[in-house]
Amino acid sequence: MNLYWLQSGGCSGDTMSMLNYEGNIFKLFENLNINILWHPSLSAIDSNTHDKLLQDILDEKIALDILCIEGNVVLGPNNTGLFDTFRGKPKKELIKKLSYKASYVIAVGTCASFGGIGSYDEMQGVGLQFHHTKEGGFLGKEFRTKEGNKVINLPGCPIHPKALENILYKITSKSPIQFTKRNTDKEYYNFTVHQGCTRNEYHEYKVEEKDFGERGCMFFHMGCKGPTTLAPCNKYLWNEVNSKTRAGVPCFGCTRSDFPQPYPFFQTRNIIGTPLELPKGVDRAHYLAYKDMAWAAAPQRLIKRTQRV
Amino acid sequence: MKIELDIPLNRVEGDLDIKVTIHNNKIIEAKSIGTLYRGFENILKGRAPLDSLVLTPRICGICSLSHLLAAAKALDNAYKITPPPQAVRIRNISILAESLQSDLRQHYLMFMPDFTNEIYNDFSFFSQANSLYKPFQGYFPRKILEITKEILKIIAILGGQWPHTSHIVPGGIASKIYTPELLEILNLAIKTKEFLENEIYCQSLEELEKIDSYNSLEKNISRYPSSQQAIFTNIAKKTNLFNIGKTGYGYISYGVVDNPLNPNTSFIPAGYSDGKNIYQFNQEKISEDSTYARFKSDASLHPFDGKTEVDIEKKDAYTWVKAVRYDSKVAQTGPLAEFLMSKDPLFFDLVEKFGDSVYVRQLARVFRPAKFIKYIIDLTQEALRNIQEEVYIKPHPNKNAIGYGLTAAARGALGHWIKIKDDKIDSYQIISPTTWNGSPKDINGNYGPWEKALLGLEIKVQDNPVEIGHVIRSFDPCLVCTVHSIENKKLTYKIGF
Repeated sequence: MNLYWLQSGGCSGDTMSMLNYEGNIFKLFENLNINILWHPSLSAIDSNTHDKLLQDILDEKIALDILCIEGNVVLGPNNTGLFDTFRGKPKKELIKKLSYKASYVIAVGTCASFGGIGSYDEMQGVGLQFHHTKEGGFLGKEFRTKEGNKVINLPGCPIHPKALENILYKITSKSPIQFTKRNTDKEYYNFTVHQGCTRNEYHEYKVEEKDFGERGCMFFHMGCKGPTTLAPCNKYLWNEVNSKTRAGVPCFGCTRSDFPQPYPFFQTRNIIGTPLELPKGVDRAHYLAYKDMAWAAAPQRLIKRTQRV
Repeated sequence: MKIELDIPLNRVEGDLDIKVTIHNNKIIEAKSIGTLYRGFENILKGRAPLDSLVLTPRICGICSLSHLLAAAKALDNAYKITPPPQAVRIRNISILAESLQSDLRQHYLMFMPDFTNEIYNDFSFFSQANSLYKPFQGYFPRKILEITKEILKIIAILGGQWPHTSHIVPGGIASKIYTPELLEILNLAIKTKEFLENEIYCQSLEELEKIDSYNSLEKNISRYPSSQQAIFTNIAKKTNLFNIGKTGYGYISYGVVDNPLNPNTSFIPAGYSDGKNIYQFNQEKISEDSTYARFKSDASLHPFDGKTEVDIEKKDAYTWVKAVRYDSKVAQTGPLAEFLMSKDPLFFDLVEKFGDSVYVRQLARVFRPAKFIKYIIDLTQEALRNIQEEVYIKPHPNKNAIGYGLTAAARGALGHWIKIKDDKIDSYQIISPTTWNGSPKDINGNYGPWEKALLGLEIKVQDNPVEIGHVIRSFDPCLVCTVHSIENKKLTYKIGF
């Protein structure tokens, strides 16, 4: 299958993360029979050849099976799109044209999926088919590819290389994909970041931190979004070795559609000492009672932080 | 006849268009056009000071750790806190690992693939270049991916992941590191050192270190003809890289990694050099002027005082990037600047013989990993010996404060300047390495380094101006960092911050 990779309003972080794939990413493309028509960081064809390639895709002389968009669609300033141009024209025009030529469109990363960095600001970044929680985004709610597919969202800032591998495998092998209401692959994203965090026992007994440098849980005060964020960070580890929460860094909810939240990181918004946002489906009164009892039962090795994480 | 060419340059982090005017096959005018504006300084304004630790890494997927360190150091400075020695060691290991892998990826995935360009079809190195550097298939692109992802594990062990983590915080690092983790890092570092010795330099790092002049480099190359410095030098001779891309400008570095016991000093000192002498560095001498930028103020201002009031109608302005200067002088930054600040005899000799040509600038990037891997190994061993030490001192944030954080990113001098008012970010200024190297003309009419390096460059085939790629890539451009530069019809400048 032919793949074309376009970078728009982003930082190239997803490409950088992709290169950390645990096998060799070039070999993965070969194994899946993916022919990279163009990747801006990796391809070496000159600009004239690239121009011709683009024209051939738009003229449907070359089949565009998979279109990967990395970064958000830039609408600013004032909906002109001139903050992000390709050959002097707003890049959003090219994104739209290519999207209608593709069989599958993949929104690589949170910016492409939901808007992400710059989605609350003058840049006016939007996701391909979502803006934050709202369906629609740049291409509109009704958009379907040539083969009738919605945009497939791969949120994460950055994406985990496994998320990309998973979706490319499913597309190339025509495996069925079960989607969430945010158009993400349910099988891949059906974990909370909290699951598998090595600080879980501290969380269990409500042994909570207010500052860096300690071993306890960061959910109640330090803004950790582990329990409210869907991503397998503590199941499929980063760079194969670790995760932010294991390293004492709160989860910032980077796969969430509201990332980067318009309120402070490193602080938990709370009501009378309990997080405003509780794990999904939890009853607040019961949760409070459970946490107070858990705290009363907390063993000294946790209270004194002697237990490693 | 004058011809205008507009060349999109790929294999750059972010989008870059180069606009050149060619007369008699020579470039007589050059403009570099970044094509993306994200407005990070405005994204940060009004947010909590610590949010800079989450947001600034996301300026750039390849320098994300460097931005994190600069942001944390700006807060250290604002809150008047000195991080404990063990935290400085961990910070150093993190940023050195990022720069080391960046150098490897830049040379073997970005710079060398240009020699597989069909324009070199008849050159003796062509088939070798193809087998070694061809994108996706070549030997080195694959090998380099495998080793760089091992190097990046070092950062993930310390900070959770790469890119985009936030384990460096004002006062130190977020969490204590233990012996098993440091031993894992040591193993990865030793594996990297062996890779460099066996696959890149084809000799021990100790032997490599003895090269102290161009003459001894030539001897070394003839002894190890399959080494990467030999292959690069050979190709450089045949493609005129010894002569092109010169700016004649000075060099700037903010210093490479802080001394753990005295973080006001660094392993490689900060400084400004004219290529012969080294002068003491003082951040107060950094200024930006907007003579050719579409902003209201014409005066040269320090980043703390920088204003960004747009003036669309301003006469003669052709850019949205201010010209950053040191003591009113144009300066370039990157590995070559660092070698000069460390008084390296080889690079002083090379600069004297060949100026700041593409060859010399890029060779610094080929050699820097040898230096950095030794630092990483030494720092890890030192961290192991001091495993009991604290890694975090709680700062006492002042609701109103100003601070700056300077560091060495892979591409050179990176600085963040923060002003905090009522516990919120009031202003945030970022000057990235690409702001230095890709700056526009200044109040005195001096071109920025990229522009100067392109002037006079001969373009053999106008449809395939590969020479421009060599020159610009030797600066390792990073365009995703664009912060305050906005689209302006045809002549656009969108570089740096």
